[in-house]
Amino acid sequence: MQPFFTLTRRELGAYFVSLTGYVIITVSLFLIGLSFYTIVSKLQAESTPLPITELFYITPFFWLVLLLSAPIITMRVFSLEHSTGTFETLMTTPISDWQVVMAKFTASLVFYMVMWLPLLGCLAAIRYVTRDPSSMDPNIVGTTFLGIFLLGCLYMSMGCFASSVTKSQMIAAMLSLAIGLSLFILTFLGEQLPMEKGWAVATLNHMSMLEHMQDFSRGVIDSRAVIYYLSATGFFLFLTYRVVESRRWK
Amino acid sequence: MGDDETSRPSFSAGMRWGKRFNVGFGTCLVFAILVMVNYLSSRYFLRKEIGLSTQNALSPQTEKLLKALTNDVEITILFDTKAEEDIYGLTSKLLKEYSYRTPKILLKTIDFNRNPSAAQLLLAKHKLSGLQKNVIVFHCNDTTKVVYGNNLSEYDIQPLLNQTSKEIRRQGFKGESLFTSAILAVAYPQKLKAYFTVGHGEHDPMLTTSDRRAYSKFAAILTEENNIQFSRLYLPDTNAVPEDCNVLIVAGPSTAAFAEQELTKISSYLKSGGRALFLFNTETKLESGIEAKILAKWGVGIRFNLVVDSENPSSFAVQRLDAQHPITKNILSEQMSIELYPSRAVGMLSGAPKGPTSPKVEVLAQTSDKAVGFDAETKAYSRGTYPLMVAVEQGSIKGVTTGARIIVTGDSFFLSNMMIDNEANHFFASMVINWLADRPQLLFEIGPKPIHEFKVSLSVSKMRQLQFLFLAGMPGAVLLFGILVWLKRRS
Repeated sequence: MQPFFTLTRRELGAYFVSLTGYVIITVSLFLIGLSFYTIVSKLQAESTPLPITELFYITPFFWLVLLLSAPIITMRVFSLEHSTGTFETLMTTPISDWQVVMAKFTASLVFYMVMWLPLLGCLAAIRYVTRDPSSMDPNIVGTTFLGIFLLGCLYMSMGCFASSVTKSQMIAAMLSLAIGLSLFILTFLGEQLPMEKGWAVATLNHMSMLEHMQDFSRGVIDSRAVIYYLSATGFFLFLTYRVVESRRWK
Repeated sequence: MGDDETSRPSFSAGMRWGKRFNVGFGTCLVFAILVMVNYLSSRYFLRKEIGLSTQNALSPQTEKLLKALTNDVEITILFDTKAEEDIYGLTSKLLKEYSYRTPKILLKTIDFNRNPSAAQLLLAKHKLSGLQKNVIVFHCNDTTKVVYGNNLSEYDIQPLLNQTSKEIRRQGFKGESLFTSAILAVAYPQKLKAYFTVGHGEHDPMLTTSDRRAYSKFAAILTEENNIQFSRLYLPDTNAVPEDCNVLIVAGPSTAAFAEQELTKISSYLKSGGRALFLFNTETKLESGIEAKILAKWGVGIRFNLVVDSENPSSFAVQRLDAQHPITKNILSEQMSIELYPSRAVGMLSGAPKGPTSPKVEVLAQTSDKAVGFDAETKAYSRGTYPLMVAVEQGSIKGVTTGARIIVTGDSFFLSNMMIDNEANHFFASMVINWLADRPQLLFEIGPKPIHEFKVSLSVSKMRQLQFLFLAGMPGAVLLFGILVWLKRRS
């Protein structure tokens, strides 16, 4: 496990010692702040029975942060190594392909979660101004973060896969954005289908990220959503592993 | 030999194809496992709500009904989702919980603004007015029921009346009660009917005022919550109690006695297994005839007295309820308290026949032992325990009732518009009707769910502070830290 942790630490370091990582967090934080400012303005005008976490996920900024941050965080993980030629050096070290893939994925995921941490500060600020303890139910905050984590797992694994197939960071980012956006759009496609029983409707409902996030943001944990995200993450990590492994037989 | 070795390709075409096949097959296999795992997880899943509020929990009544569904019920939420975001959110969440409980619920949302053509199509299909923007349509086997969005909320107007606030706040969400009732109506379209007798000074189910004689709220509980239609019945005009009568309600006769022929009709109805609710009150100055000529034969006695169980002469809370009877045990378990107007004592006759085929009389409610009764005949006061309500059941074998069921109460005003807003009285009315109609699956009450609303009222300066914190303070601090790290690394 030591090589895995070493590589993860190295990857995380790449985010935190350069300005890039901080710029990503700053932009995300600005969007999160903007959504919270919108929520407070709304609460100033009218009362609402929805939990704050649910109001937050409804705003477009939440999805903007998710959809844009994932390609930006992950675009460099393999592409940069390929383009600078350090990938072959890395592969000659006594570390397995799985460890490389998992270390890069873990580092991206940890950075992604760090990026979301200031959300707690925003919620605490809302709790302070509403003076209502129930506006920050710790269980609901926990499930909201679980939802953010699971979405992050899926999007980071997609990003790692996109980065592994190309040397160009730009193409990697675009590919990751395209896959992520397609999955997101499928959510809306489900709403347009007629009310019938069938595998298409069932599949689209099963993959609906809006529905999943709605559940998490109101304190509901559904095993279907958890399994969906974990299995899809596993699938993309498997694809990434195959791409990384392919250097041996190309 | 050495030449042969160097000329042999390290990765032959066959090996390359083999590897490609291996990768392709492996990927397909993993994808198949992914699909299989998700398919199984969609069939066998677990949903757990861990928030402190139980907004999304369904009542046992709804759970039972949903599990028993055999036909598909289509539910279409037609809402202006932007203008009515809050109530749409609550509605959508709740109905999604319904659909998670059973695949028999097919749920669809149409946004009035985003999809106006589909909205118009739905309105035309169910012959609804185009002005109705927020409706929930329940449809099953050619039966349709519509729940209107403006009926879903319960508002607290007290602060407005007290002039402590200019805002009317939403305090309860009645969605579950209305949706479960709608599903019941479309999935089990058999219409039950209740008849209110008239002509003897009874309470009027059509009267919508808030006084003691009006019974419109009780009638609304019948129709809206329990899917039972009602009519008024003038017995002299009929040959018998109508055949479609599922529950006969005699609500506080006070000005005239029942004629012999009317009593015979009621008696025959009960003998043939009819269900009846008899409500009396202390304002009755004469015997209605039902007491002696009908109820006495069923083992029920009604005293001509006035019972109160508190120092407050206008109303009192029932102190003792039968913990076994399905009507009252749920009220006890919910720790609710029925409020009565001064009542007549209603109990079991001491000389009533007891045998396997005899009617079974059970006292549902009693006063405490400190209640005071004033006997109108002897003009005497006496202190003690008085029975207030009884249930009569005949022909019950192992829980299956084939014969009559009767409920008799000594007060009728507690179900009037004036007092039925009391939670326990409302609950009791619903329980009684469902017990009489023999619908054990509905012997639970679904009350409105309390809504906790958030609101902030900040001064302009506080809003500016918050704006600075969210848009500049927090992001700026991170950026500054990043620049410091970057500068340190450079130096």
